[in-house]
Amino acid sequence: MATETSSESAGTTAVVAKANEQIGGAYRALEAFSAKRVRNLGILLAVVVVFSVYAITQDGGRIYLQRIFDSLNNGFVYGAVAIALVLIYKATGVINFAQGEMAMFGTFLMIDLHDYRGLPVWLAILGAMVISAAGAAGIERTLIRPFDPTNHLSIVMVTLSIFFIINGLVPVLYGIDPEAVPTPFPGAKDDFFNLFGVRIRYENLGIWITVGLAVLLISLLLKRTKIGLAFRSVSSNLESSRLVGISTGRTLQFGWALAAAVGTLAACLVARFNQPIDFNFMGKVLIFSFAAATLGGLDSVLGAVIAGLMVGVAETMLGGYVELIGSELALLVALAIIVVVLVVRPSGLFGSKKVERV
Amino acid sequence: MRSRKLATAATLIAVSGLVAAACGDDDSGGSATTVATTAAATTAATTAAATTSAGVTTTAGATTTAATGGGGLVVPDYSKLGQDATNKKLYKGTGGFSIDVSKCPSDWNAKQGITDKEISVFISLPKSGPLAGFGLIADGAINYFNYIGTTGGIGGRQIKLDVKDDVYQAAQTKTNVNEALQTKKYAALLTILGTPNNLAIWDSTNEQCMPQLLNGTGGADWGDVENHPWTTGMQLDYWTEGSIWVDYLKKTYPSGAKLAMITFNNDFGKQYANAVKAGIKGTNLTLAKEELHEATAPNLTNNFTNLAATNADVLLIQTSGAFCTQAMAEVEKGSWKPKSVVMSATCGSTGQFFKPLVDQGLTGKDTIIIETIKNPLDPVLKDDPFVKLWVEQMTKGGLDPKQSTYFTGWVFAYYMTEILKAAEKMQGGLDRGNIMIAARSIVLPKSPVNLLDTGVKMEGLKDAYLTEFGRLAKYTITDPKVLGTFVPLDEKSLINVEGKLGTFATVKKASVAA
Amino acid sequence: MPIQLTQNTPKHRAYLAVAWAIAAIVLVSIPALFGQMFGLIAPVNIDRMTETMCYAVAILGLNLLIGFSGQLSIGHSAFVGIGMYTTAILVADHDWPYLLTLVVAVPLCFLVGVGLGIPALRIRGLYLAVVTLAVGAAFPTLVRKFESVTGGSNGLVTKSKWDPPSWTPWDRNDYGRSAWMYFTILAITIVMFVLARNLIRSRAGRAVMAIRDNEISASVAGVNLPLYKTMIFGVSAAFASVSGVMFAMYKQQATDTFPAIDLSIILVVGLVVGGASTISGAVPGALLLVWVVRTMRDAASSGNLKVFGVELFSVDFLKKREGGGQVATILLGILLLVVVFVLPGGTIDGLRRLRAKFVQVLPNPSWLAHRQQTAANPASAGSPAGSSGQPDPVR
Repeated sequence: MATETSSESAGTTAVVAKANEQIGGAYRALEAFSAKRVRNLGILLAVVVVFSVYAITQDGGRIYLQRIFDSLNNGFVYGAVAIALVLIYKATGVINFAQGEMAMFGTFLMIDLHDYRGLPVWLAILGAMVISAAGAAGIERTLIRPFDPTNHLSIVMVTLSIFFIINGLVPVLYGIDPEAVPTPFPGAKDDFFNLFGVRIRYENLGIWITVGLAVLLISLLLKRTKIGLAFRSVSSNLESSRLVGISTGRTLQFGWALAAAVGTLAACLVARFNQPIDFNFMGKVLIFSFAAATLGGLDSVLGAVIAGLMVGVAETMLGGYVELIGSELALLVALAIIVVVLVVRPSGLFGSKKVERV
Repeated sequence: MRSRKLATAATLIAVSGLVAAACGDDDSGGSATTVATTAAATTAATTAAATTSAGVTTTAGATTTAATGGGGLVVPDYSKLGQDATNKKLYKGTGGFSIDVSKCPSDWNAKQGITDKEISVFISLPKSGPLAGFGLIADGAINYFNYIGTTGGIGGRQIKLDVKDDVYQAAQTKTNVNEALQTKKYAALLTILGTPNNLAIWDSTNEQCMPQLLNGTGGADWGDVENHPWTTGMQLDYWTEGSIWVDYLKKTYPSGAKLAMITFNNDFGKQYANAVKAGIKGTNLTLAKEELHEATAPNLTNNFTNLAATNADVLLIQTSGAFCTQAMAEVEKGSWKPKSVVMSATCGSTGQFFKPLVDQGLTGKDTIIIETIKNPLDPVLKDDPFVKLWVEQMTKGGLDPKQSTYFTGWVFAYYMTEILKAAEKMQGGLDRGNIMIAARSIVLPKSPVNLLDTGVKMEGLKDAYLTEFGRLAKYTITDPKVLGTFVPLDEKSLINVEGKLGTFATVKKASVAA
Repeated sequence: MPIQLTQNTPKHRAYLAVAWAIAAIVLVSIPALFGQMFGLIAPVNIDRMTETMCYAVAILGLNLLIGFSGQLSIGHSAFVGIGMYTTAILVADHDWPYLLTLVVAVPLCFLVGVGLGIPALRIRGLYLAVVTLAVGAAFPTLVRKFESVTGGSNGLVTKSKWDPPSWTPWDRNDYGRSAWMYFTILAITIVMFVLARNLIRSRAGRAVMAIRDNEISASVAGVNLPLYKTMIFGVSAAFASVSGVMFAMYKQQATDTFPAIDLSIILVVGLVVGGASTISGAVPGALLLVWVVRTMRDAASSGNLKVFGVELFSVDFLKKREGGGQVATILLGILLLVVVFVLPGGTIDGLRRLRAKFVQVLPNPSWLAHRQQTAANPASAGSPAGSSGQPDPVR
């Protein structure tokens, strides 16, 4: 390679330089495009309106509303789990592969507390949340803290191993049969009301409200409390936080505990939608939630929920209205849309761009 | 620099060596021709009145309400079958079936896996991963074989079942089975699960003359006695099941109806769907929508919204696992109420699929299903001697008598035991050739694992399917808080087409013609 | 007292020659070895070694992407799948010989990989991981969608058999076929490893590593970021497709459930446990996946653990519990955890440290001096730096 002839290398260098320039030009164009937020929002709105008109003329207004309702259901589900993913990422900069399984364990705990120890559902959920938080704090202390926080690969591997361990442990403890899931909201067959011909179930509404409240509470927690401040500081700059005297270990532990509790809450609610559940149920939801978390920006809690709704809408609407795609490919198309969005905005819709220092 | 030149040279040599090797030693083919297919085969195939998809009818002679078992099944004299007296390499069974083991590999051993004390059998099925629930079939089978061991076994021999996990992956099944074949330890393979899994191995098992018995899937392919004589199934095949549905729907909706389907996007889901689509061709039943769902779908809400939009009269649920429960729940909770809901037999376990409905405050009532095997959790069968035996042995073995999948294991193990017992009676005694003959000639006028003890029969080239009956039943409840039972639709609802399906050739022909 | 060898001295070269010779002898005699030792049945274990090599090449491809270029990908299984299905379709439906299918599969996957690499230019880190996850999840679904071509959920079986050609010493039986397949796949594996090593040591390889260490510095130094980043995606995909072809040869079948996200994840596990820092890490990683995981699974499903025919323990408790078979997953997790804690560089790191107790390889100052001399005197080495007017920064 060191002894290439001069003409050869001149030729290839020229071609490569040209390609470089073209790609560079494409970058700049994309950057400029993504910068104009208001205009992009306008485009998005126009697409939605055009699509809705098409949809209503295709299958009628009632089906359209029903599908919107379905997508909100699914969307809140994906978003709820995505919040937990985002919290861990904010704190530590890694994706916790075990998040789903930890939440799944929490759900089975909740079912155990409710079915076999007779606790009322809300108490069972709270109990499961507390136990999950404690467990996660323990995991952080023993398995994560020994590592340098910048050693992302090792930490991700640790979370992957926890994934396997929990995924194997739950069926050994609780068996493999699918289980029904209790709900804290009125969830009997007839607990719904009709809105323009669409059945809106109380339990679904309950879940939407709970997720919304959770987002609110978390934002308050992060913005108004001392520990929240420490959390935001650590997630922004670890070294400086240490210098300022913040106990980074404790704060990260808090982050893990909070994420686990939120994850368990989300999973308990999610499980109700997808019942009867077996030990693999979170794995199915996780890919949607990853997609949602990424789309929204991996460090934005609100973004996670909004993106979750978007994923839910894309999945239902595309699957329902585009015959060619059908339900099986709907997820793929949703993922494709996310890829496209990420190319335009590489940090997600609401994520913050990282400033890199050389 | 030198090392690089060396590496390049080595690479070139290796590549040229590969190119030299690339040119043809991969001869295609290798289908098993170890059975001398007799001329009788072709005549048998045409005489077998295979009125499948278009015309599965309840023939008067075949329906039974009393437990007399399959309309006069005659057990052949096993002692006259088996190894030929003069040609030790030839084994003969009923229905024109015979095996010529001189066509088998030269190291084929008729007594492989069989000793005075033990018969070794092998199974590969999912024990981990999402379909691990089916893995309990192996544990149930082992439990039954242990029981048989306590009652004297097969001429004093204990049946030993070795289990390997394949996570339902066909490639892993192939590896497991290849290894099992190469250890030369096993007399036969039992109940391999999954259509793609069995398809992956049936060429090699037939080539190696390894009995591949009682496949754990309802694929119609296992009736292919002409090309794959060493492979048999057990269940009522999905194709016939779908055809029975179509027949029932034609009778129930003589002026036509719209059908909607929710189908598992995998091997057996598609078989049901294809059977129905073929069956309704040319009738006034129309398919309004088919929704496919993946194994990774968290719920079926989107699918059902799409189905509900058609407002169809009939819903066909063709899936398995928790999706069965989810589908029934969607129907019950939604505003679309189809007039009939028909569900595949893969969703038949009340304990597994209906109980979670009860826990949700739903019932799943009026769902129609075709039953073949007894449901051990059915209170109506509480005093059935076979079910009682099962419960007793479950408790003895420390297994959960509320888990009906163990009973499924018993079903396969029961048939295996009967086959082995018949093989022992044959000429030449218990060896693998006779096991295969027995598998293809077995007749049980009363089969205690079936509803009403309905009998089963195999007859060589004439009848390659074991279970050829089903009973249309509707799930009925008395108290919504308690599990209900399947109640037969009417006295004529036991449809017995024993001996009518023929072989895969006839089933396939009917499916193409339909 | 470890022996100390200075690099590029005759002693060192002798040591290398001996080491490689031993490795070659072991590799070539595996079929024979496994027939005689431990009462093992030869074809079974030869086949397992063959499978190990298929996994090794897959992990190798992944290592090029994750280890050497620092881009995270969980979509590797899709490229393995493309290779598998290309071969299966060409052999089953069009009667191509197995090895010729490489000619189609590899460029196809390279192009798809490059195509995937282009959005990867904009997207980084975990966002990229999600994109690759999408690709990995897409593949099985697409296979099922186009079932007329791919056989859908039933899979595609190629009926070709691996009969050894007449110029080889084996008979047409189980052993002969296994041995012939083993050597064919061994040959392909060696080629791939050699190619990988050459790639790492070339200018392109150094450029890729520079990008991994610090993208901005590399770009400032003149490394063409888009070119190398997309190229490495393409190359990694090409390696994966070769492994897919190998899998198709080995299994003589293509199924939709094999090239799924589970495979991607297990390959990453294999990579980490083997060692991501060098290409030889792929070997212990693959050995782990095929031998250890399989043994654990068998132990869990049958409730007792047999190693080389010796029963270590039997756990009745597992036989009774319904979820007992899942213990294998727990053990895998624990194993991964142990490796990450005890051997963060992977097994290969542990092996190297072990080797360092006996043999240490020291860099050779005189060799370094020679290089510096060449760099200071560009004309004498004939480099393009002087003639084209553009400095060659990656040295």
